Amino acid sequence: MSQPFRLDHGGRIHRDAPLQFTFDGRPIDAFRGDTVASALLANGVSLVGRSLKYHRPRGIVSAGAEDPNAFVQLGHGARTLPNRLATVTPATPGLEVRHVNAWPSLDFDLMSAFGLAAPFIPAGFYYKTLMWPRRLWPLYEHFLRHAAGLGHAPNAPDPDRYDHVHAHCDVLVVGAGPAGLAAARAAAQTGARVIVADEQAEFGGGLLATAERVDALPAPQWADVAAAQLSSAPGVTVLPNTTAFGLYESNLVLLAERLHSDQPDNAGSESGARVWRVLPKQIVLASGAHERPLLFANNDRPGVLLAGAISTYLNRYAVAPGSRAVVFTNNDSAYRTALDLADAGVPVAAIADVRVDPDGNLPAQARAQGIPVHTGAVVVQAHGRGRVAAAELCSLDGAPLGTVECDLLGVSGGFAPALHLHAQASAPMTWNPEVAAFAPQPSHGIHPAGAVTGQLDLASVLRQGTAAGTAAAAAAGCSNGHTPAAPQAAETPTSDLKPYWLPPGELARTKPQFVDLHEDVTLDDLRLSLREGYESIEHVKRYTTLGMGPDQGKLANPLATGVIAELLGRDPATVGTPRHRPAYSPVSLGAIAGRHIGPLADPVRVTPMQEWHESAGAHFENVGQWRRAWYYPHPGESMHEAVARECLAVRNRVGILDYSTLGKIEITGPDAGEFLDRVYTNAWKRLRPGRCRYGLMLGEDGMIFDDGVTARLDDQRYLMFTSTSNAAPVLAWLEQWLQTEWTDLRVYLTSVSEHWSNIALAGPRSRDVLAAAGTDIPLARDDFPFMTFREGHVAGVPARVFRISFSGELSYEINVPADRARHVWEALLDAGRSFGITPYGTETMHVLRAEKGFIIVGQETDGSVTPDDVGLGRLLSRRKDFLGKRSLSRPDSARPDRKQLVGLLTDDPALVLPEGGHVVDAPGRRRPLPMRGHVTSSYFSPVLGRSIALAMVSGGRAALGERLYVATLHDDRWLPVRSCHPVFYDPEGARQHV
Amino acid sequence: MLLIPCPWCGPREDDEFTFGGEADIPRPADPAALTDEQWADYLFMRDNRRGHHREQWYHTAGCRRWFIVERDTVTNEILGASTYGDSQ
Amino acid sequence: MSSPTPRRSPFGAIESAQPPPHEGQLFERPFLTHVNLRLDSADSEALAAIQQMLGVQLPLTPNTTAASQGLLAIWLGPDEWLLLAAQDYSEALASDLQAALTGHVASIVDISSGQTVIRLSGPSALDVLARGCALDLHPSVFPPGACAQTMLARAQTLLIAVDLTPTFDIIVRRSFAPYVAAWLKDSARQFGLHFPTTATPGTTLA
Repeated sequence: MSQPFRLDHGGRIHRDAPLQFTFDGRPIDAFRGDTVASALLANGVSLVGRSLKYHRPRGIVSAGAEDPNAFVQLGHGARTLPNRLATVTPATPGLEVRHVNAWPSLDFDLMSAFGLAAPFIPAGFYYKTLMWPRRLWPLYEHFLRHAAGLGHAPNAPDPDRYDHVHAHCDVLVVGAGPAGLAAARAAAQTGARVIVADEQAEFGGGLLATAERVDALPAPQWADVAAAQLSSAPGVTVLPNTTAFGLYESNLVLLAERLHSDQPDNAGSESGARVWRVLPKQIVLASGAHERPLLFANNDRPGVLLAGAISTYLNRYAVAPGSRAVVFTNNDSAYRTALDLADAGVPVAAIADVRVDPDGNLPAQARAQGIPVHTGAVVVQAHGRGRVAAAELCSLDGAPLGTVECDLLGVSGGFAPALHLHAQASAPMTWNPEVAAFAPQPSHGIHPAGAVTGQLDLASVLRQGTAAGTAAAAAAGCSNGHTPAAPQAAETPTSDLKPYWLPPGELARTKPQFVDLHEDVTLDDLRLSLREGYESIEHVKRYTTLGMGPDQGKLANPLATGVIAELLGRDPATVGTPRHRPAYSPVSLGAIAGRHIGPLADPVRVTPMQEWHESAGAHFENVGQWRRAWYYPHPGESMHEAVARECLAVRNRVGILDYSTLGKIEITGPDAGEFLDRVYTNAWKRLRPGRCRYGLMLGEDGMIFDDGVTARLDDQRYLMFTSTSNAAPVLAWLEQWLQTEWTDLRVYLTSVSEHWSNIALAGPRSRDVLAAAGTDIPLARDDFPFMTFREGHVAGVPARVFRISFSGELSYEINVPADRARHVWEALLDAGRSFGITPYGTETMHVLRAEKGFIIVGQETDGSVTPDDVGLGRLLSRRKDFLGKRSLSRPDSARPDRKQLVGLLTDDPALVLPEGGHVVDAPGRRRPLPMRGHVTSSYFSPVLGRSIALAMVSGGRAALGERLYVATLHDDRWLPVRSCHPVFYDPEGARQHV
Repeated sequence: MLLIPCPWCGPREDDEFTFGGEADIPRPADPAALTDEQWADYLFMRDNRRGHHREQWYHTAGCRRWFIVERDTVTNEILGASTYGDSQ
Repeated sequence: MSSPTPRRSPFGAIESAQPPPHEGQLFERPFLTHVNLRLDSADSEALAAIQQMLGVQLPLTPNTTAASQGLLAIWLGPDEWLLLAAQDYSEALASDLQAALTGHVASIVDISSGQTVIRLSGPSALDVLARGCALDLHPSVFPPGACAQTMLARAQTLLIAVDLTPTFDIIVRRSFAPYVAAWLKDSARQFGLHFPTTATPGTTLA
């Protein structure tokens, strides 16, 4: 028989559906319904990995998400998934499973030499030892890279598709064990919208592994019926294979649903994982409990399993994880495991019970079956190298009770509530002495139910679940007036658990005793931490890495709380438990990213002319979310050549620019002028309709926030242009003043940025082009002078035309409705062909404005620049207050050494300075070198035939013509420059007035 | 994730909003009459309260209204929200 | 008044004499009239004038709409509405509003070119929207006639519940069209829906 440990009957596996997968290349026979772990155990595979630090052999410990050892790598190539748990991964045909932490192979592991060196690798070892001498760190690092084996990431793009879904419900039930199923049923009966999620492939939790009965049905069968009823109930969403991994503020819960990454990607289906973002009105927390391990020497040996897990493997998967068992417990539940083992024909050689006088039903049954029960007894050491071979027993006072041969050692230190989600939310919890663990308290819409509360009796759990589901639905506003009856189960009288943390006396010194199997944290490590003064549970965690593994210390933390308390002689309630953080169990990065990858990572915004730009061969640059045409190279042209051609076309003939991205806000109302007076530094009320003005907007700190032209459309309406990237912030800023401070002003704001496209015609022939394209607006200089606007038609389309200029040339900015902008754009190009019209992009726009010394907010300014700093002091009204004005007379704003806008000319006219380059008085070796300022804009100016730059230089304006140097970053050179007035071209401004 | 109760649109996720800092800092009626210290106090000084905090939020992706949220800065619990009309 | 030049919608529709084919479960409703209206909702005279002119009272309850013959008034804020109407009505609507509100402080702005409407209808409509919208759009919470300004994935949007099919109108800003189209294509794929659009220029969004 290929599965020597498979029982010949029972279980929920499908014996008619055999399948095969591989573990480290070796074929493993399994049945549908198996997990990878149950199949490995059925095949007698006891070694599944090596431990993180000492590379000790490790086996499967649990049957669920709490396992510290069973991390495996699934699949290969681009689809491979590291750090999946064999205990929750369904066995599927052809699945490739590999161990994650052994080098070079699982059976022959060089790193286990670390195990021999264990006494020399205590907690804090890396910090204390490997940091010295520093020059050896690369060597250590190379070694540790091999040691820190936690699987490997795929090295090719992930072919799977990941889904994100927002979901809302009245009641979210986390966990579909007995409490969760009872709660979901009760809530659903009220008509509430219910989501119920469980990390396992089948609903039922502990019900699937018990011989108890519910409502007269075998428990697994009752679970199936309850799950089927929920699946077909209206308003209920059932999510198997789904882990609730994070609980956040506002009770937002994130669920990770595992989809079928082993299946080929069928067109139309998501294949990797789905993250549900659930915002429930109420939460029933039925996340169950994790059985607590017990301390003894070599308690990490393969073959040492949690007692409840043994029952699960026997009853649910029909697998006996060993052939001769010893059970070690401090409570009644492990007796059930002993009885299950006996039923399955696995001899139980001994039960060691910490308690002196266990008098519950289950101990009585075990004794009646003839199982040897040692009371007041403990296991103090496991023997055997690759796997447990015997258990050494001892009485509580340290007297030896002999060594019992076994290949399976079931341990139970009681059940600690799985309070991780609750703890992530910092919700309150209290020490529950009945289970010797922390349990969550109901709070803020969270209703704990079942084992998570410390309640372990099935009948009570079902009642509690029903009550929690009813209460949660009622709190969510759903009720049908009556309380549903709870499913019935037999009460099992039990005897109390006796907390057991440390082996008696000197036996607590036997080495090694593992508290955290994943992180290889031993009892000695905890002692060392406490001895060195790290007594807070959070400090112990950081000093020893307790609970820091991908298992999140599910088994280790509840044990550590008791152990630390006993070592310190304190009440465990005062020790606490480390703060839990998402994710409860590993979630792949693909699932977290969802579909926000590639082109959907962030919106790309485009103008109506985008397709034209693309067909014209434009190169693009990103400006915030906008994609803007950068330059339009002809075939074979470099960027420099293309930009030079575009610049000269504008200066000598005519160019056309898509400037649709500018922010545009209509400002309407009788107080619009007063409002502009307050937000702009200059005066607006007397601007006549039809005229435009340049405005500067400051923060209250007096620093430039935005600039742009505003036109007065009519008596009560203005149109404000904002810079592209400030469109939304300026609107928010203006609304803030109107809504919170100046509520008496009768002004309304409406964004029209997207409605109006903006096409700039610039250059001496732009008037000719506009005329040729057809317009009913008189264009003669005196009819339509500089800094005015006219409404009319251009190329048959209603248009607002502004005679404003960002290039210093004769220029028209033509606003047309975006639906027709492409038509107008092409009409202007057609009309301009005989005038040599040239489309130009943002790079040419920047060169042209820099030649004119026009600033760009965010390039010349950085939030610390006043109007006077950039030479715009003339725009500051003396007659009125405006936002930021008072700050301009603060001593700091009037400092004589403030950085001021100047031009820089290199000695070598061909040399273009690096933007951001530091401006200094003289080269020197002294570090740091005193800095005078920095280069803000730097270009080659084709019309001037030389390079130009703008810079902010301390005290620069008073010393125009001075010799300065610009430091290069990459090759440590000093470039000699001379400062000059920042307007390089047409300083009189004659060209824009023609 | 903070669920912020916009007084107009109802509770919405925090990515729809822009934070506007501490509330109840009126702009001085006559800034020119203030000393540098008084102006700096208005401009820069904030209480940075632990616990109950009144603060401004702007519903950027919604109704574009500024409003006041009362939030516990320790627990992040939202204690209430009001419009500027309410509080005047 | 229609201009002789054909319009191009954000999702690539080109205006023609034929009405656009409204087929399938996901399509653009291009070239509708979108007029933004702002006025003081305490100005009862103005509200009455509007009601007389439009045949419907402006909705004063947040997140609701009010419909009259060929026009939908959508609440955007306590003093702001969007009036959505048939194609080629914007100039007439704006000037009628202007006339009706003479003497009142109000702002009437045509923004028809700045945004567009996507209609999503069918049994998977809620599932598609749930991929990117954080709001609870279940008909018990968001019944026909409800509206909400919110995020759809990473784009600001205005959602309107139309009927219980369910059908939704999704109003998006023009510049976001390629992003929204790519997002809808990706999210609707698993439900077998297709979004006929040319608004995904090759080099912009692969």
